[in-house]
Amino acid sequence: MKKYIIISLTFLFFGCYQDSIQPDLLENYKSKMVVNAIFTNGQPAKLQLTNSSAVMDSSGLKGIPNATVMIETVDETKTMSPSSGDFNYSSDFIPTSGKPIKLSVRHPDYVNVSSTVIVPVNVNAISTLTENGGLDTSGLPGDLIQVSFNDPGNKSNFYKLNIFYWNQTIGDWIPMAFTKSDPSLTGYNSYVLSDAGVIFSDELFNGSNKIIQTVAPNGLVSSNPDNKYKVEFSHITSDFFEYYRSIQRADDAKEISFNGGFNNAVVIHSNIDNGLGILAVQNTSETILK
Amino acid sequence: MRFLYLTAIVNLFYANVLAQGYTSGFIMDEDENGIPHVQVIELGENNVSYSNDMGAFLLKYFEEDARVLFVHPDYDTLQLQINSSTDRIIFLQPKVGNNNYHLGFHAGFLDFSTKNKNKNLENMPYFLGESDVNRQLQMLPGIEQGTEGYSNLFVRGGDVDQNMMLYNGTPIYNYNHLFGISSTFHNKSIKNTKIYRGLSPAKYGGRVSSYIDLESEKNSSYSGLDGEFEMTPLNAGIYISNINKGKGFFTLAARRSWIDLMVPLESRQNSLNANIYDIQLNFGKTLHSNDKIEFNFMNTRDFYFISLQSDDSLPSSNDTRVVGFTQKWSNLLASIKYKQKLNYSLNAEHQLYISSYKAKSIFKEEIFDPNITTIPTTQLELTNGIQDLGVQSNWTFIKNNAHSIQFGLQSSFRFFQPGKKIYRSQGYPTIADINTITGNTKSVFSNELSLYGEDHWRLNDKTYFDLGLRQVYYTHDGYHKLAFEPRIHGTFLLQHRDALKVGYNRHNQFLTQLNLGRTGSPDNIWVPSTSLVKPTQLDIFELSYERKLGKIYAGSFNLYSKRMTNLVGVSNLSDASNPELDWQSSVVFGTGRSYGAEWLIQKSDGDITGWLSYAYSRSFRTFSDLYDQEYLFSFDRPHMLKLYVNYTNPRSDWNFGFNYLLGSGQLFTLPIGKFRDINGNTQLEYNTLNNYRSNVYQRFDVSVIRLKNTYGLEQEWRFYLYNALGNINPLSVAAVFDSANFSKLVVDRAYLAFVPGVAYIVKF
Repeated sequence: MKKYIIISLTFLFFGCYQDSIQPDLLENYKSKMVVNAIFTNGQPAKLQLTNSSAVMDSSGLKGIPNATVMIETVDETKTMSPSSGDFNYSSDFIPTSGKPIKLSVRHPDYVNVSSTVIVPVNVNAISTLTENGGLDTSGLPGDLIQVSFNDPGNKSNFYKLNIFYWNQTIGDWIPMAFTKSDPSLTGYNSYVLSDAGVIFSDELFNGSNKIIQTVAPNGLVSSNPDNKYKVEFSHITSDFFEYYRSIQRADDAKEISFNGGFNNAVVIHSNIDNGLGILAVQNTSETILK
Repeated sequence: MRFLYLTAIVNLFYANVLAQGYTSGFIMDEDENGIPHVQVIELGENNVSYSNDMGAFLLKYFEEDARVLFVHPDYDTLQLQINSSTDRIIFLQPKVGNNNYHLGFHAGFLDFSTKNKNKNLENMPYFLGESDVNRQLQMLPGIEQGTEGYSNLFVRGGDVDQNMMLYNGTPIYNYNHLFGISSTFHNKSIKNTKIYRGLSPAKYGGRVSSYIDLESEKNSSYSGLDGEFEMTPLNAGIYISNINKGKGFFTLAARRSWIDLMVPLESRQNSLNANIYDIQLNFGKTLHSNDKIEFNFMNTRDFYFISLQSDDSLPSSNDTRVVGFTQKWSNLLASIKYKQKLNYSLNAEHQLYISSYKAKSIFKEEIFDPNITTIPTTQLELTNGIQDLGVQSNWTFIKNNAHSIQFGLQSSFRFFQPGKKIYRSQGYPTIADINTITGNTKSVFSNELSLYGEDHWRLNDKTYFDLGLRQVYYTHDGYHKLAFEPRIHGTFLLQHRDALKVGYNRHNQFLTQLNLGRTGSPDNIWVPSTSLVKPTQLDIFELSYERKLGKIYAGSFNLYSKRMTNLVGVSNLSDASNPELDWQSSVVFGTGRSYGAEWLIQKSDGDITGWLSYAYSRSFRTFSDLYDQEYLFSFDRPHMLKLYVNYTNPRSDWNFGFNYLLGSGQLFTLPIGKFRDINGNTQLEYNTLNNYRSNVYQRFDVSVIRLKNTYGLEQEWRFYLYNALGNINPLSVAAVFDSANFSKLVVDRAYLAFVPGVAYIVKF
């Protein structure tokens, strides 16, 4: 049998060779600053600053501890301070919705980077719980969780929804896998993130009052005397949406064993000028359902 | 629609009442090729008509008989006394030094029987020795193969699914064998290949990149039975033709792989099997009424099967697991065509066709356990495909000597199968049998109804216009779209040795093939345009200049600019290929643009013929969901020079041919850096998509043909060598990491060189 296979393959693949190369493209790479931050309205700003390295570089990625990080608004300028020798920066700056924020980072070893964002407005999200108000995916009665909000019209808006349930045994909130039963979430512009949250756009309900609902699995929190669910609903920026969506797609592409389009490459979205990463901004409301 | 028919009927009445006589027919050269742009003049009257691109003419006049002049600068003028109301074939004698290059047809149009003729394509070097119409087209300017070694067609920065390939008027939805390495057509089953690389008459519609019209042999310069037998490393093939000149034809072409037949039957059934076949059968007849009827049939199939026995069972178990994987795909085309000549100025051609493409992947596991009486079996079957049922009625009405109007109605009923998954489990002792069907249990329907009209308006002996409009009404699942497609083209014959052509077209495409990783793969899925996935639209502007050069050379220069909207790309390969998920959730939308300049110089006479072409072309894409900015299309190649030369002398024992290509390397995407994302995971950094252009593409292919006549049979041995200089033209460049943290990178490159091919041919 083997010889027949060899004969067949010889005809087809005679003349196919393979070698390894080191393209010029991959050399002379200049390391950039990578900003990772999520600014939330009403909460102190935090930021993580690391570097990027050449893809050929086998050493690990490093934090950047001694950078000058400035936050500017029309009203004030604040400096973000690093923890000692650390690459985590923090400030008492509190983002407020509707106001532009400019972040700039300087370090002598890197090209300066900056980003300008606006905290999205509050969309008055209201979360409600109806015990055994729906049927779960098994057809059994489950708690109905509803989130209603007012989507601003005449512009594209993006949202992130996380639902947690209280685990009585370990005494902590556990992310609940979200069932995307709403038509607005089943379209092409909705993604489930690795933290079980879902991000979506308002393409199918632009400018209207929207209610998103899901049904928890039967009996999930039936023994909880007090806290049952926590709903985090965030009005996020388009950059936030694009960034998470590209991260998700990159993770999906890693699971594909063959080389698909563009060699499975996914360009991670960034809103950091001259650098990488994301300055994500969100207006978040948190509701604990009891 | 009613207005158009009404106009046609009124005009027909008008013509029949007032015209008292006519002369019609074909004007041909000594090789029975039609001669375009011949002035047909009624002597003594200001009454002139012109032959069209096929050499057909119709002169209407008011005398019963007339003396008619046939005038063309490259041919001796002929004067005839012609009885009215006759059809005849007129032969013109070429002048000394005549260059018979055909200046007609639209800008961007090419074929191998009129525009680019006498090139002896049988002597072109072919990959693995398999004569391939796609590879002939790949040597023309503006048409690229895509991935090295493949038989795909990327026309002027368009994608493969944007080409409509027609076999005798019927569209084929997968024209590849061997995952894209070979075309599905027996070389001999194609008498002429025509390609509209952008602009096209209003009769053609439904794709935004090109229309490739393949015609089988239907007439010949002599009657008789011909045939040949061909053997290559991949296939054994036969071609038989019986032409009754002007009265009917019968052609049969068939190929089948033979290597698998060398493998014992038991092994083929149980371990490994791979075979392909295709068959093309055409039959036509001229009826007593001079109407013509023809039947065309085509069937292709690829079949691959591998089965492995698993020995990793638990030690305590005695079972043996056999896992099999089968992949197969097939095309089935059938059509009936009826051509009518209703009167001297009104012709019609009606066609009914069906084209069916189906691909299937089957995973099967069987457990052979001596302890149980059944054979527990699980089987997963994935199916995708498309069926196209079409009906057309195409008419030509010659209103008068200056206006010839083409109009028609075309309808395409498509039934898409984007993905169906059947899961079966049976024979397990403690588990009930399972038989579930998920995905699209029924086909998804769409209809494309097109009405078109086009006036071929001859302004004077040097100027004519083709002014057309195509109107398409598309429906799918409640989504309706009415699209208008202007088709405007002007031809200006400057000195009858050169022509300037200019045109603008709009085309819409109401279906897309989702590329799930590799062009030509049977896993790629045809899907309809929907309310979410809008039809792709193309606007193209083209300018061309063609010139006869001396006696045996001709040159052309084309400039084009294209803009495409509503392009569809796949954002998530695994989700898009999962039939349980809506494919619309896994696509992204974008735009594209391309432009270019193409030069072509050809030599069409003598023992040595061929062509030299150079194309400067750029193609870009913008998919904001994939990358914020515009990036280069995957098969963008700014520079490409192609040379095809053959020496063909039937009296010589040896003939030869070669291809030489020199141009920009292929694009690949490589990561340039890495960084930590907001979740703390390492991600790769790409400065853009398609960021790495491989080294200069250079390829020299050679064919050597040994002609031998023994026992009264013409025999040929054809020897080929692909990439004979061994240039490294990558078919893949991929970044390979040793771990998920991307800590160590190796960039692997694969390429083809010194690939031999051989074919043995016996003609009878």
